[in-house]
Amino acid sequence: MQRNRPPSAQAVRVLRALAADPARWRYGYDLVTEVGLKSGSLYPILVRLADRGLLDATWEPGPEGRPPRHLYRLSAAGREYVAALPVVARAAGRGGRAAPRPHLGGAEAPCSL
Amino acid sequence: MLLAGIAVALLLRRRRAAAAGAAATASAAGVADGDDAPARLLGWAAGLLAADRAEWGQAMLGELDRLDGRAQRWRFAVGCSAAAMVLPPWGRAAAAAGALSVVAAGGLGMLAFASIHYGLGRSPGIWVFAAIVFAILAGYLLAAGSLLRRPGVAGPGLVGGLFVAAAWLTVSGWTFDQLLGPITMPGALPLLVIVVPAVVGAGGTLWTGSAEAGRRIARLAAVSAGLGLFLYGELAVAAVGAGGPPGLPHTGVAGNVSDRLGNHVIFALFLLPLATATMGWAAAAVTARLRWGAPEPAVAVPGAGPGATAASRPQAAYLVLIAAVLATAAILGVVSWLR
Repeated sequence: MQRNRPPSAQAVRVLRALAADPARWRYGYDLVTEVGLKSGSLYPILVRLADRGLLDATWEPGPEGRPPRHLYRLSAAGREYVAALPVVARAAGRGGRAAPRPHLGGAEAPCSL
Repeated sequence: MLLAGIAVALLLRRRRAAAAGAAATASAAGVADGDDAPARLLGWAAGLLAADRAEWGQAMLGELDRLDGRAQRWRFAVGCSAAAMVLPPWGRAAAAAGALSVVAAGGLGMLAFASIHYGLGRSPGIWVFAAIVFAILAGYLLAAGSLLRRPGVAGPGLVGGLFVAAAWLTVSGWTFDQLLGPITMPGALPLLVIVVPAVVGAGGTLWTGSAEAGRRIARLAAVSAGLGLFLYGELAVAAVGAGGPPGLPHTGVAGNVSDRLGNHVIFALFLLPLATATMGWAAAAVTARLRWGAPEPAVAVPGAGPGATAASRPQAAYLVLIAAVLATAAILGVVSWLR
């Protein structure tokens, strides 16, 4: 059974970064540099967000002989979720202290991964 | 030194083989340098992910491919590898890893208890020793965690570990006193150091149909048997102390207990795992060679992209066999001296 734990402050930062331009697809490393997280922290967050249906993900084919790249953006459920984040939590996502953590009620959208 | 030399020779050989395979597939792999260590590290770690997480491993590798700069690539690869190693789901492997952690913690606890109970705690050296043991145990648990997540390895590997541990206890004696005394059964040491690990490696290879899986099974058996006997032996020392079989002459209780604790750590955490893994490794390679005749089929290089293969390394099997024989001779000598 999938648990819907409230997001960590780091996850909120990722969500906020994605919500800044929700239509734009982002590379994983772009998020690493933009949010200031290490890759070892970012990918587990992306996995959890995708599991919850908050992320859309797609593949960008690589040039000849290069592996494809994974791209991410907020799903519709993700945009709703960020909009429902309390102001304090959103501020936490910008570097402040995390406080009331919202629970995700019914975002069981299928994960695109 | 002998073993270190053998290990270096093996690594060099594997490096040359991997470079040859990588050079042929560099463009398909998207790795600019076939020897790029971050890509190989991340490829290995991505292979630990559960099947339904495999795409995340490819996503990490795709990002790594676009990064320039050695430090940047290392940082990214190390971070992603750490994430891949702990990323759920672990399935039943989690229970096995938890059980091995409990065994390791129990052994370390017994070591600490015996050190305090028999008055060794006043010497700072014993705590340095305990810290070293802690680091070794952490390394073993990390290795066990990665092996347990490989498909088809957990069950046979743990059964193999039980088999190895049971064989040592049967020959050494199940009682604490017997365990701390010398092995007196004729021919027991070659049986324990050569035959038992070889059975695990060969059995694992035949069971899974793969020499690679057989080698992993042998390694997991080595780690799990070592941890199990570490706990049992430290328990024995804590219970028996300086009693039981004759100890060092002209040495007090603390000296004898310290000697036994150290000897048992060397036995359970170095010699037994080394012998089991090395002989099991060699037996797996030889079994595959004898059973299937042709060299082991080329294996996909993790993270090297679709269709990428590494050159098969049949000669490495013979090198491993020679290493195993030499290592076994050395181990037999040391075990005989210790026990």
